[in-house]
Amino acid sequence: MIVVGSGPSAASAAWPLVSAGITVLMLDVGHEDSTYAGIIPPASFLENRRRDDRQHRYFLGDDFEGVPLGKVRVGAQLTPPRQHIARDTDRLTPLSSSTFLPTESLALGGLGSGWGASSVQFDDVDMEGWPIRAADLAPHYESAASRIGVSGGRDDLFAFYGACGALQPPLEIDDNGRALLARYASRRGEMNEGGLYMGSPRLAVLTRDLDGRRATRYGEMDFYADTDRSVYRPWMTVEKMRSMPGFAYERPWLVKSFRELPGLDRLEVIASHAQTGDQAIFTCRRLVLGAGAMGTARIVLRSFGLFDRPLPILSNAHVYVPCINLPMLGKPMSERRHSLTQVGLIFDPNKDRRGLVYAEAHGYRSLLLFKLAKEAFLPVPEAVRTFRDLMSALLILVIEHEDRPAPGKTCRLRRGGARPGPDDHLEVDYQPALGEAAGQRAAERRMLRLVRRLSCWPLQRIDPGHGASIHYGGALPMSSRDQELTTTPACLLRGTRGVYLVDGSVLPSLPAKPLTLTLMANGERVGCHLAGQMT
Amino acid sequence: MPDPTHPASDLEREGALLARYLLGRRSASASEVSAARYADACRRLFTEPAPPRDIALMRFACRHPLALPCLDAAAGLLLPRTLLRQKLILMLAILETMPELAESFLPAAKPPLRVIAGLARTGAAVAFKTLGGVVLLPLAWRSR
Repeated sequence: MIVVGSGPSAASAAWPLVSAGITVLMLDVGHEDSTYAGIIPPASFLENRRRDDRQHRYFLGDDFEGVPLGKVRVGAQLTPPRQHIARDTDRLTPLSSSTFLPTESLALGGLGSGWGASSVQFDDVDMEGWPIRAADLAPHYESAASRIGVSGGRDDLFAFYGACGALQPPLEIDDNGRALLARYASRRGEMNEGGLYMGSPRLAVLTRDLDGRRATRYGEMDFYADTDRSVYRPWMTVEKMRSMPGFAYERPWLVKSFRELPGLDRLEVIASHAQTGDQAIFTCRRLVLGAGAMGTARIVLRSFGLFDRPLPILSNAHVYVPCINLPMLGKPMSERRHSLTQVGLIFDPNKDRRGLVYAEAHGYRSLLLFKLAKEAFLPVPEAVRTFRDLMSALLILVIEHEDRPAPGKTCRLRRGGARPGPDDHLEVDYQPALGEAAGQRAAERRMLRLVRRLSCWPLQRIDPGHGASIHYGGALPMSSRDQELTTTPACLLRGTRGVYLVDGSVLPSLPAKPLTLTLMANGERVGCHLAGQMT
Repeated sequence: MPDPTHPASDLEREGALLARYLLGRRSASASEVSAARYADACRRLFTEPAPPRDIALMRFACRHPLALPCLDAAAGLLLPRTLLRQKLILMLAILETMPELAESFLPAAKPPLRVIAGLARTGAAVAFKTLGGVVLLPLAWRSR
């Protein structure tokens, strides 16, 4: 068995296979941060800010790569210790588009090395039009949540986030988030009547020790370091599998294509060495592709020789709305906090769970003032003074909308590289359907009106463009109909005998909710199915 | 105005000037380190020649430090990606990550009314500086 990639879906698919004693070879480019990991003290953000003379190295980068001076580019929002996540993608997996700016990863752990850890489940309404139901994923949601450690509360969001028996106690919420939730609680009837629900976030962050990992100490370094391994990263599963018999991890291999050998229950996997470009062929009985929605689309189209053939591409629309939580103006900020989502929000405009708007409220402190000052139309000293004064009341709402296939949302593999080197590149054209963006803006406005009634004032809407959500899917969707370039409900790629897809490419639509836990649950489902076949 | 090919001392002088403007004071403990780090960063980041108007603006700001607040205000509104703004943000990042200056950048509790009064004062000052900057910008661009 060969598994391609090491992100959330690939690691989760490999886990049941390795646990069942099946021999698994994981092929990956596998970049890691070898520059900063060793120099970040295991202290809190504030302690590091006040004491560490070397902090400029991991906050700004040795080449000052953490100081974004121009327009936002791919990977620019990643802090220096996380920039390895997007390393080499321009060179090894080129993409051209004037309408879509995605972030892809060739790192060990894939995009999961920098995810926000939101871990919610999809329900049957989210999965309308899919050939599988939430019940098919339910045992795998439980199993994935137990394995990675998910914390969350039993509040108004429990029904939206999905019933989960394996939850750890919820994370502590910072003062700003707590103040917002208290006002929501006092006006809950009115908010729910309007369709707004709020509660504690559900995150893959430990509040109790688990499997050698430590509960979070609320040190606020989550954007820079994997302190105590409190926040789950897929490399942790890979690391664990490396100590188990039958598992091998080989890098730096970029898988280019596969071919099934006629008359044999065998496949050849063609890979190129990420540094030297040397080609190698690996053989296996079954192949699991978890190279990311666009990475897997490249491999499949290249293997079938289907250049210029359009495939669907999906990505959640994603905007930032900085807000001032007025009652928190000038209040002291607690030293003890984490950097991830503080409060979860769901807007259910029609109260039928369709067309949900998903949002997360974040604090800002650990991302440093200079990035805010850069975006402000103020003289720099005044920008610093203003944001410093507003910091205790500043909440950044991250809002996401669902995405469904539309004729204008396509990707194609084109011959020839955008630059010398690769033989082909992926071209993405992303034009939302007529009225789609307007509908999203209208739903946002309704949601933000309710948020304003909680004395939390939206300042500005920042749209970073299509592809910025880092949630991608839909290229080779699961379907019950026997169509070319789709997968069966078990995620077997049609037209092949043994190629399974496990990343976002198989999702027929993207609900507004974050998809990573679903990718892990579906990866485990496919892994369990294959383990049953092979033993 | 120094460019990346100029000696480090020119960039360091420029860095010291920007640091003094950003902090509103001279910080003896931070100035040497921050100016050296600034010079290093400029050599790494500003490898392409800047547009002539950006270079003229930067040179003017260095020769006339008293004009810097007004030029920064006008550039922030009208030319947010100009070289002057980029160098100010770079120096700000450097200063913000110096432990001895941490408290100058970390949030501090204040009575809400003082926050609101401060915002109003800032608004008025910014409007005044921006007007001054709009007048100065064409002069700066024409200077050599």
